[in-house]
Amino acid sequence: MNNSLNRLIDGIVIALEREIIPRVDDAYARGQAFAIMDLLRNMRPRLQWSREITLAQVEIQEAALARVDQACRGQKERPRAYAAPATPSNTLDTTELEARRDRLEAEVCDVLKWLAEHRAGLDSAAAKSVEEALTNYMREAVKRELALTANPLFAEISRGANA
Amino acid sequence: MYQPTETELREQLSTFIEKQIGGPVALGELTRYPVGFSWLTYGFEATWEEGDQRQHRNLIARIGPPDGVFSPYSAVPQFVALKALEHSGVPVPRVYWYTDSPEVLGAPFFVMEKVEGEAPLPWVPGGGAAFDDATRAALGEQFVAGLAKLHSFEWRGTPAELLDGARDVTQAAAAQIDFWERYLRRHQRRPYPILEWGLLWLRANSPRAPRISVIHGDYRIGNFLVLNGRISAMLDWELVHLGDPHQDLGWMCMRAFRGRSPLMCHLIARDELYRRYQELSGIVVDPRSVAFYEIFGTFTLAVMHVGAPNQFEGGQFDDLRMAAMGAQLWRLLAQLERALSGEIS
Repeated sequence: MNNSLNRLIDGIVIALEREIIPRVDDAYARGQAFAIMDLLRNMRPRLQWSREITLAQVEIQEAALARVDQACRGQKERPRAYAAPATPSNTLDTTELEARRDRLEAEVCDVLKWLAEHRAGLDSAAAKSVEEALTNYMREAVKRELALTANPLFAEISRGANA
Repeated sequence: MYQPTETELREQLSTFIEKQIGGPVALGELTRYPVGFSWLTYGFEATWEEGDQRQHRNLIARIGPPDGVFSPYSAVPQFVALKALEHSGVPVPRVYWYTDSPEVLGAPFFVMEKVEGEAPLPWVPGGGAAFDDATRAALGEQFVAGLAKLHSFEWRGTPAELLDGARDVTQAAAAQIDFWERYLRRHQRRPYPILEWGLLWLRANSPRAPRISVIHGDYRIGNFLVLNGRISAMLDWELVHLGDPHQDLGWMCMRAFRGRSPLMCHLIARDELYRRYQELSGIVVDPRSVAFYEIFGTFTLAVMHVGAPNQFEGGQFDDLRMAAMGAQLWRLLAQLERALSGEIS
C-alpha cells in the first residue's frame, strides 16, 4: 500500500462524514455509515501494516544485494560493497522494517544506475549476473505485491455506479 | 483543502462571467461530475442578453484544485489548445473564458461548452467487446481521423504556440522524460527500483520525432464523448503539449486501455491504426517509436499512481480516489517490469 494506514482511515472517515452521509436519504443506511465511522476510529490505534509482508520484502532485497555482491567479487569495477546489517531484519518492528526496506530499495536503485554506467567496462558474465539478480528481485517483488492487490474498481469509481 | 460550496462557486462564477460578457448573467444549479481524477468538473446553464438576443448555453467549468494530482495547475495550456483547434476538424468543445488568478475561484479554471454524449470507459465488464462491430468501425475511423488532424495541425502562428514541450525533434522524448522525472521526484515517498530502471531505459532508447505536433497526452477511450454513434468531442486536454506524434499513438496502444482486447482502445487493430493514421496524417509511423512510447506511457501511468496517493497522504486533498489509485500502483509496476524485460531480453 502507498498510504499510511492512519491517513487512509482518517480519509475514509472524512469521506463518510462529509461526502456520503449528507447525501444518503435512508436513515438506516446513514446509521450503518455512522457505525463504519465508529468502528474505524476504534480500530485505528490497534492496527498497523503487516510486519510479515514487509519482512518478506526486506529478505528478498537482502538476498538480491548479496547476489550482486557475490557476482562482483574480483571485478575491477564494482558497486559499493553490500554490508549485511548488524541487526537481523527478523528482530525489527514494522516501522524499523519499513525504514530498512526503503534504504535497501535505494541501494537497489544505486546498483541499477551503476550497472547502466559501467556495463561496457564489465566482464559480460558478471554484468549478466548482476542484471539477473536485480531483475529477478524486481519480478519477485511485483509478484508478491500483485498477490495482495484486489482488482481495481475504476469503472465503478468513474461512473459512480456498478459496472 | 480546496472545498468551496456549490453556492459559493455559483456566485463567484456569475461575477466572473458577468465581467467577461459585460452584463448580467443567470446561472442555474451546479452539477458536479464524477469524471476525471484531476480537474474538478461542474456543469451549469447560463443565460444572458447580447444586444437584443437572448443567449442560453450549457456550460462546463473545469477547475484545477490547488492540491490535485497535477497541481500546481494552469488553465492556459488547455484553453489555448482548444482555442487553436476550434476549426481544425478535431472534435473539441468550444472554450469561452479562463483565468489562472486564484482571486476568482481560488484556483485556475476555464469555462467551455457542454458537449452532449456518453464517455465509453476502457474497463469492460467481463473483458468482452466494448462496441458492436458497426459502432466500433465508425468510432475507430473517427478516433484515428481526429488524431491525424491533431498531429498534422499547423500550430505555428496559432495560440498553441504558447504550449510547453519540445520544439526540437531530437529533444521531444527527453523533454517528456524530464517532465515526468520531476513529477516522480516531487511525489515519491520511497524509492521504486522499477521506475528507476524505466528512467534509465527511456533515456537510453529515446527516438527522434518525425515532426513536432500538438500532443493530446491522454488520447484514449474514456476521454471522448459519443452521441448517436459518433464522437462528439475529445476531452481531458490537461496533458496537452508539443512533442512527438508517436507519443499519442503509443499511449492509445497501451494494455491499460484495452485489457485483453486485441483492439487499441477497444476500437481498432494495431496494423489498421498505423495504416489509416499514416494515410490521413501523412506522418510515417515508426513501430519502434510507438513501442518506445508504450513503455513511456506505462512509466508515466505508474508515476501518476505514485503522485495521487502522495497528494492524499499530505492531508490537503481528501479525495479517496487518489488513495485507490495508489493501491493499484503495483499493477502498473508489473506492466512496466514486463515491458522492460521484453525489451532487454
